[in-house]
Amino acid sequence: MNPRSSLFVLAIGFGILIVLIGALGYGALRRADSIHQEMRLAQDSYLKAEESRRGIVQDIFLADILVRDYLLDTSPEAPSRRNETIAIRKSVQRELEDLSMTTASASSPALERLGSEVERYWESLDPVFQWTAEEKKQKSWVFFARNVLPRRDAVINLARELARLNNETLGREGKRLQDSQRRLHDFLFRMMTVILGIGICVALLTTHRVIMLQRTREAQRQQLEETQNNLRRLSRRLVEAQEVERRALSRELHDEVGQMMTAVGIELGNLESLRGGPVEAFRARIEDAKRLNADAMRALRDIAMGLRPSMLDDLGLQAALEWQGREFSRRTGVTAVVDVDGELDDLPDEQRTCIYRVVQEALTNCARHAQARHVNVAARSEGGDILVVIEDDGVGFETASAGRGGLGLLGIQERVQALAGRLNIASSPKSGTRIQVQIPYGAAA
Amino acid sequence: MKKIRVLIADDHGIVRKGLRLQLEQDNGFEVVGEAAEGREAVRFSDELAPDIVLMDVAMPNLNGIQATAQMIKKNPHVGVIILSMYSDETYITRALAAGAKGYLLKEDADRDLHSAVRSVAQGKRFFSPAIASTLRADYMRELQQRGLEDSYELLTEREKEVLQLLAEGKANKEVASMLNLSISTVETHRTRLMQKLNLHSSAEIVLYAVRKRIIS
Repeated sequence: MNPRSSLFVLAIGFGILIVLIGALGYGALRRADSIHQEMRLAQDSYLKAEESRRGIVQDIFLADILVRDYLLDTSPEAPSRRNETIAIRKSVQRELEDLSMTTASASSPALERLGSEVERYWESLDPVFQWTAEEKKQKSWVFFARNVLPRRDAVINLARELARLNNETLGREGKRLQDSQRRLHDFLFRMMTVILGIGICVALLTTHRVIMLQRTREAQRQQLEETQNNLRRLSRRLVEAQEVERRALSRELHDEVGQMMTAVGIELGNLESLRGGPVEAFRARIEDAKRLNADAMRALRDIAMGLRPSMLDDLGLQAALEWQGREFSRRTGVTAVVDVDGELDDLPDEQRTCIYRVVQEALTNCARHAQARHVNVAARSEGGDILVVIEDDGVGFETASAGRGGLGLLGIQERVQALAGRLNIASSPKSGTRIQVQIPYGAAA
Repeated sequence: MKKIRVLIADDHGIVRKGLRLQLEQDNGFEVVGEAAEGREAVRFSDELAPDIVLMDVAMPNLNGIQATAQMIKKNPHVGVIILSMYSDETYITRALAAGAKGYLLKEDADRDLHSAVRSVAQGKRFFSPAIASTLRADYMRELQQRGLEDSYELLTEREKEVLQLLAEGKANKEVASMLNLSISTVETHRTRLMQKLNLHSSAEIVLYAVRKRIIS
């Protein structure tokens, strides 16, 4: 996985993780809140229902007592008690209404029956209040036992039934809430598992990425170190090479040109002493001096050509490369075929020089190591690039060891890179060497 | 006898002076001007109408080869002699292609200057003798390396004649009248000899002739 896409995956992973944790926390809080609320509602409704139910039972007993009191008091001035019963009746009615509001639908038939039983109870009481004192004495107990007591017992029984139903409802509610809680628990467990899984993945990925980054950095550090070493080696070799070249140049100038110029000087001195001497001897001296001078010129020209061929400036790249190929052939006896596109003469000086030096270095290497019989040099523009290829049919070399060995190749590399170009060396001990250089057309460094 | 009018183009004053001194030793020559760079040389050639231009190769602004091409374009009859240190065919081919009639090595200038100017003024070509041997050595080596033979002996006598006249700088028409042939026959000979010798331009014909010492 490449670094960018792994970073993308990591970001997504972290994002999902955060969103999940947030959603889980929020959801869990919401669910817990609602369960708590429902629990309180269930308890409230149970307590209210129980309160109303107890009120009803209490009121019935109260009414009972009231009626008894009334029946027991046989004095003519006994209060009627009717109004008090009516008040109780109203109170019971209110409590029944409260009860019907708080009771679950499961117990509503029982509630309806309770309502009608209560009604019948009140109806059974109704005639009593019309009675005279005499009637009270005669009928009360019988009436009470036959009519009122069964009604009252029915009401009480129904109230008990209702209490049982109410308890059941509470139990059911409790169970439902328990289920709800268990579901919340399961949900939490599942989410935790998922989050944990994603968390582990993200952690693994992060660790992997950190390790990769460390490795890359380590590799870069090594590469940098190697580059620095190369650079140090290169600059040391450059200094050495410069020194060697200067020494060679100095020797050539001193030993060849200097000697010849000295000889010319001597000849001129001889001429001076020959003034007035025989004409033949004079002529011979002059010929010698001229010959020496010509030799010195030739030596100078060769040195200058070796440093930088004037041809590159006078005639352009094509001519200079053709000349170089011929010089190479002259020196080594190796056939050199040079095929250069004439268009390249218009290149900026930097690029012309670079290509010229690349070919020069390649041919020098070829002459030194390759034991080749043929060399091909081709330069042409291709696409937006200049393509230079130098191939020989020599013994080749191990490309791996080349970077450390030759200053020349390093120098080529530097030149090509300075022009944003690419150097490609393909060589193996059997198939000869192919050096390819590609430089963007007309681009300056 | 009419003097041969010479223009000297070289960016070194001391060289111009030396050449002038050498030429003025002979009454047949008259140095009509000195140019220190290529453009000046082209302008002077226009203004002074010299018979011969002695042209250095390496000059500022416009090098000798380019200046030669411009001069010949304006005045095809001017005889340009290139002065150079190099006997490599790369230079010589380019000089010939630009229209130069002579190629004189600087090291031999003192000896050959007079004969070079005189030959070119007479409409002939001139090449320093050392050039022929360099060219010949290169040519032989190249033939050998490619496993080829010199195909000069494959030419007919007529073709050899045509080759020599063309190399001396004669136009097809002149060759035709000299050999009593029609122009188209000369053209046929020319094409065939170029094929046989693997030559591709007039400059290469001249070069070949120099190499073979058919002309000098």
